[in-house]
Amino acid sequence: MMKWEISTDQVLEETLYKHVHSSGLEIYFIPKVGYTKKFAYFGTKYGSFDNCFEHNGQKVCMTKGIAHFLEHKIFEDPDRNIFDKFAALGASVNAYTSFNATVYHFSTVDQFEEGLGELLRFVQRVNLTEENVEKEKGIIVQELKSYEDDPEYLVFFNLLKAMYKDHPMKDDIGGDEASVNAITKEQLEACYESFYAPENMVLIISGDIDSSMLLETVNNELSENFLARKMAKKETLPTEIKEVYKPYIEAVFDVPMPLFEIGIKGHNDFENKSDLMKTAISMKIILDTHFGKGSDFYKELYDEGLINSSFGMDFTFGEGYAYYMFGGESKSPELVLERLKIAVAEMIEKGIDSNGFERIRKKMIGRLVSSANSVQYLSGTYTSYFMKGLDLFDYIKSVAETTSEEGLNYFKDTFIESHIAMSVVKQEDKA
Amino acid sequence: MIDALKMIEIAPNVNLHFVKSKKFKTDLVSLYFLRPLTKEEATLNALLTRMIDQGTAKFPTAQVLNQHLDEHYGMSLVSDVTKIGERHVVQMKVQFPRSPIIGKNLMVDGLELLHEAVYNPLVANHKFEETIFEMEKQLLRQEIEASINDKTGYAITRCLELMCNEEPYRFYEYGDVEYLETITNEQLYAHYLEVIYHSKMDVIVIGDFDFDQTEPLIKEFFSSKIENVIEIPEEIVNIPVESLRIVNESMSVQQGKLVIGYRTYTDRFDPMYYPLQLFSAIFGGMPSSKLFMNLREKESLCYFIGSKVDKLKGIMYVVSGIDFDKYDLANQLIDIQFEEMLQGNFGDEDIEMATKSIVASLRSISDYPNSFSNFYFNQSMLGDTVEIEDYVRKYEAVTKEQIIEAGKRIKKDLVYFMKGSDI
Repeated sequence: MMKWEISTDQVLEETLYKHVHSSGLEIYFIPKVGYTKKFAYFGTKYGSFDNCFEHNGQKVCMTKGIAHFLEHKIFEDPDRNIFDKFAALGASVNAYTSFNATVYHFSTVDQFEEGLGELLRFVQRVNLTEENVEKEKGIIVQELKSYEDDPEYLVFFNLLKAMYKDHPMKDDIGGDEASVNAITKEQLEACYESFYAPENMVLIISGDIDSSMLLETVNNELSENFLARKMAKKETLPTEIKEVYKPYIEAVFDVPMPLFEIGIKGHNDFENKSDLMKTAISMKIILDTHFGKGSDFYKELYDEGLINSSFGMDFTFGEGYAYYMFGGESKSPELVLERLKIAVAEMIEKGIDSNGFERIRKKMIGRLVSSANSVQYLSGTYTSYFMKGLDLFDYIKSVAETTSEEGLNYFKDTFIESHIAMSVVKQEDKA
Repeated sequence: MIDALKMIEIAPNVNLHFVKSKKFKTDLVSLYFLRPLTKEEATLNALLTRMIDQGTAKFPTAQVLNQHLDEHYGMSLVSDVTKIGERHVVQMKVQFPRSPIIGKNLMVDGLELLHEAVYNPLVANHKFEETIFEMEKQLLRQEIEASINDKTGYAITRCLELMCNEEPYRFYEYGDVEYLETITNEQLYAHYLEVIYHSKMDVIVIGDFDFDQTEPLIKEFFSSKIENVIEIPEEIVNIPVESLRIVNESMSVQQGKLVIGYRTYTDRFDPMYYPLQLFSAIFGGMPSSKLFMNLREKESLCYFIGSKVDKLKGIMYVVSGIDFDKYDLANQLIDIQFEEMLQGNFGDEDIEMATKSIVASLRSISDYPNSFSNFYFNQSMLGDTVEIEDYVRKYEAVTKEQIIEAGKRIKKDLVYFMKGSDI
């Protein structure tokens, strides 16, 4: 008998069902009564970071962009187009590839079980031929080109290239035209066999669904072939320097106002997950308190016309990396950076505004509660946290537990000249 | 899932809609002011909505106002405009969480804030605060200019603007830069009074709240005296296509953006509207559509391709990103697929998939408070009282012949291509 383990989150007032299948596949379910749309995410912890691994006893390194290419090819089916299969159920299916994961997901109003069956089946097998691999190259190259025309994408990925020297963060998830064209059927097969294995995968379901038969339905769809698959050993990521690779990176693009992102390279050396989560939340709260819309910093720069409402900031982390960033549009990104340095120095000297910190903590709790309105947000975010090795509900618990101390210490350790990089996208200087 | 519904007129020209849905963890209160779409209206309304969240009499700076919002558990205040057909809508919304962990019902705070933002702006001598006015004017100009950063969106805007070069539909949602420069502070204040006292207004509340307790509060805050309401002309759908227009523009892009505009001669009030939506879905509106299957899956010409219909103006467009040298081929293939549609070369299964896809998106409107609110506003604006399930039945009754007939009305009007700067 397959059984759920049930826990409840006090902040969101949501219940989480968990089951670890004997194969190692983890299954989660978040019931959302009264909603019409149902969602399922079936993903593998395999993304653009995982280019080097052990295959048939040997270390291999794949061509860049291969995880994303494989995501496209999973949709290939010899008898009927996968999109059609879902459309016939009134469902829609899609997928994404990130640094650390490839996730296939679908949503539907009716016939959820049938859709879930389709999802589980098509991800458990792959149909590669020389011909269909060649055919996909044109589509992917067009996808990459559409990102090249997006200045916001450019300014962000350039920042990562400036910050990281050896860590795969520096590489575009989809690779480039040359790497895409170099990908072969054999390489794709090796990647599929190595990472689409139950112990490396997760299934997350949410919506107004009856939980009683869910595990049996899933179990019946797991193929022998899939259950027998073993995950490859991933190579450890290269050691990354503490400092940024380059302090400044610039790209010319036809934008009316320069776009900028300032990144501060931090570290992800925490004793345990709890420390990481507390620091992450503390950092997010401090950033909003001292640089967000309610801060003196924001008001001053906005009133001086140095920033506009696109100005934002965040703290991000993942395997072997963590950084925080400030970005937006400005006629003078250099001046914004200068002011930011002054403001941080002042903050470190005077300490964190404790009233402000509590105010933003309230905001964060309120926003988390509000976000649980969306089944899609809840299940999608649960998935992305899972891929980072974290539980969204644990993360939320840390919001009440964190203090300004964690973030302030992190600021002190990391806000150093040699850790700061800026990426700018602007028009060609007119001579 | 709706647990209760109530609609009443709380004052002349002010309609209140209450939607109770226990599943939501927030309450959303929205005000909608309906305006016509003109260059002047679009620009003035956009500027006005950007002034509203920069300060009020009680919260004189954006900083103080934002701190107030944060303090109330991340309450959000949204003030923006949207273009719907040839109408322009000013929207002011407030949303706040409802949860035992918060311990406090934020409804009164939310309504007070929304009232403060809309009816108590930072004004002296019939003018808004001068520095805020100058700043927001400048920022709106930047915002309009920055629309060029989204190349695909910009290509769509350009195609429709060129296609409707003599119709109000051509005006950009956020207005016109040149006209913006001429706006004076006095003029904006006069326009503000015009909007709040001479526009049809809808108040929509969605969440898990008590109707009886909330109704008197809404009446107290929002029963303003609205009279001499501005008239909203109906969209003209019957614009003939004299001859096909082709426009190429050079920009620094790596990938060409192709947008094809069509006149469908069918709007939302026409019974053929439902077949038309299905036509668009089968033709290019979903991943199993003819355009997706042929141009992407078969020919590997593009990553994205889609087709969409504007429900009030009766305009359909197809959009895709392709290599510059594939322009002729893509056009040719799109025309072939269009012809295939008219020949009836699609099956019952295609109709079924398209119907299911539209029905699923209709039914899921009720999962998102903001879409749900906008849905009721649209119903009110169009004088429609039917529920989502009535629309579902209309789609399910459509026949193949009707879809072909809707297609036969369609005329290709303008082909827009954004090509690279070096060609």
